[in-house]
Amino acid sequence: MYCVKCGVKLKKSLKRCPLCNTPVIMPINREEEFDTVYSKVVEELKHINYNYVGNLINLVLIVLALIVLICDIIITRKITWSIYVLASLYYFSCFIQYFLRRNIYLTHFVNLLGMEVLFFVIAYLNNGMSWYLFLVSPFILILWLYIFLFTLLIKRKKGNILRKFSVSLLFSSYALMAIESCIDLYKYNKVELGWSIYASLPITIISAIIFIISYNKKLFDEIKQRLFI
Amino acid sequence: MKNVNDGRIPNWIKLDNAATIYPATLSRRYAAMFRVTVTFDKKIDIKILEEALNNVIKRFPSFRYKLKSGLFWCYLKFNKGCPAITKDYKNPLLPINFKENKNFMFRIRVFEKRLAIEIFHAITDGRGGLIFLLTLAGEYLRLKENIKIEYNDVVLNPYEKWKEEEFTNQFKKYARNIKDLGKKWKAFHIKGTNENRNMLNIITGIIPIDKLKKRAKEYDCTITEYIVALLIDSVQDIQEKKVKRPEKREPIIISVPIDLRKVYNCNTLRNFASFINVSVDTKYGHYKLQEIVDEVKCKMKLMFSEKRINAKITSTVRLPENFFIRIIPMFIKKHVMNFSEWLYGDRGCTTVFSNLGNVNLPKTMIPFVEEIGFIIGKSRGKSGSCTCVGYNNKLFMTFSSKIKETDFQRLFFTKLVELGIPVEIESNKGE
Repeated sequence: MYCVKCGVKLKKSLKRCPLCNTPVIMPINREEEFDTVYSKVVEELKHINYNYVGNLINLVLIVLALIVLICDIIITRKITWSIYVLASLYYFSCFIQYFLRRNIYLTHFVNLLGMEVLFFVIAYLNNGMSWYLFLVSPFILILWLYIFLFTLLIKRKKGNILRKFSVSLLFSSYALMAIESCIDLYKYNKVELGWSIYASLPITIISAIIFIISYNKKLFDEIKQRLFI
Repeated sequence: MKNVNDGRIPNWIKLDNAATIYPATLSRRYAAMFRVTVTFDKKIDIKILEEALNNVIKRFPSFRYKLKSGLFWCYLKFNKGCPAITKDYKNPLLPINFKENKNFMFRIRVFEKRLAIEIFHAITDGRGGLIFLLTLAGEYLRLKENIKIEYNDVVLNPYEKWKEEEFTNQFKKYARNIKDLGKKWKAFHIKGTNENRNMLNIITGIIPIDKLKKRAKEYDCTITEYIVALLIDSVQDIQEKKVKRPEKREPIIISVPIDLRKVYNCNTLRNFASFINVSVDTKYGHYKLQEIVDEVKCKMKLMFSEKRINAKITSTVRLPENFFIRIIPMFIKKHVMNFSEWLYGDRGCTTVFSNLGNVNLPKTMIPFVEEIGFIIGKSRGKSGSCTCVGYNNKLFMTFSSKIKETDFQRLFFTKLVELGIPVEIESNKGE
């Protein structure tokens, strides 16, 4: 039998032409008539069980935490310095999730929580709840909100890379203003934006220019020509 | 080196010069592999095949090694036993798992009438793999069909003693002092949608050699030169569709491996091959087939001189001899080698065309052997490779590809059909 489109002769076991995907028309039951040239079983590469690896690392970290805790209790007769180690181990466990879990947004959220817990413990043990609540905690929230939005932008399959870059620049200028607002609120109980405006203004202008260039292919090519290294 | 067993097989050996790069690029997802197959007229009897393998493996001690990592270089250590014969799959040439394969660097697979051997390139090249497979096929047929085999250069006598020459790293023996790898131009690459990472698309065209030879004679060239010209012509058609402006077209470069055994008249069973790059610069405009054939003939003749080949071998041999390269620990060197191979390995070549030549089986084996095949596995930079092997007036031309699109293969085979050469297609794709 021949492929009507390519003109090549096809082996009897083929149901479609492998070259052009045109189906082969044959009125007989082919499954019974001819042996296939290749096996129908597909070999799979062995996958790493990331959940298992994650759980294993967590188990090791728990054992490590217990050893630290026991040492602290034996040496000082109460829980003192080990709290810092436990909080750090907890954050480390959150951080390694980046290498093990596929859901990046969930991992971001786990890391946000981990960081908040670590700083809360440090603040709580050093009577620093005021700076934690009004300075550090909002800082971390702003940082992770920015990372969330950045990931969302990058992960989007559609869209021009330059436009994505310009929007992420714009986000960073907002993040700077939000950070200054937090500092002002903590220090003076009112918001008076200063340095963040000076930083945000050029960033916003650059971001706008990049956004405009991204729509003008000719101009983009021209700039690329002039600026190539 | 300590000797084991009968006191003659070395306990460990260094990798040959061509093989040093392969362990560095080895990973869970990638291994430089190739596959040689033989299709019998009847379904394979596994028990007889196991017996044949046990007899044959002793004749090929260079295959009985496992890969080990030293502090500065990887090396091969003697491995006792025999690999198991396993079932074949639809998607061949997945990276080999040494642990599951009793640490052997080759695996033997069987499907119905087809016997396949998949080899990690560190132990041997295509010719070495073909000799091992055909010797195994010969022994299997001798046991099963009770035939007398007249052993030759591709079907060795499994009961004779292995020769020292088969073991030696011939690169070092022939390397001289002048190095030249040649300038590497960035070649045009065929791009497309990647297949599932486990899948390798295989399309084999079976072409009558006499008709192909007749066509090649019209152009006063060899079959290899004619096929390379047709491959370049097919790539040119794709390039003209994808890159409209001629000045932006990168050269089409076909890398043709050459068996150095023929050049230096030796019989090693380890890697002993080099390559020549045949290119056509399409930025100057459209080339007619006659013009491509002329360029290919001229360049192949020019590159196929012993002196130029020797300069390439010398470069391969002298680079790892550099003191500063030698003293870098393997765990650092591995990543540098891997990265540079990833960056430059396939940069200078559009596709590979590896021709194993015409296989002359002993007369008594011919009625029992229907087909012989040769496939190169995935490469990291190129979308695919082409290989061919001739047997019994048939040329088995195989395209292996990691992309879904088959424009290149279709163009090549339809060109042959248009030239009046019939092509029969078999594949793992449309079944």
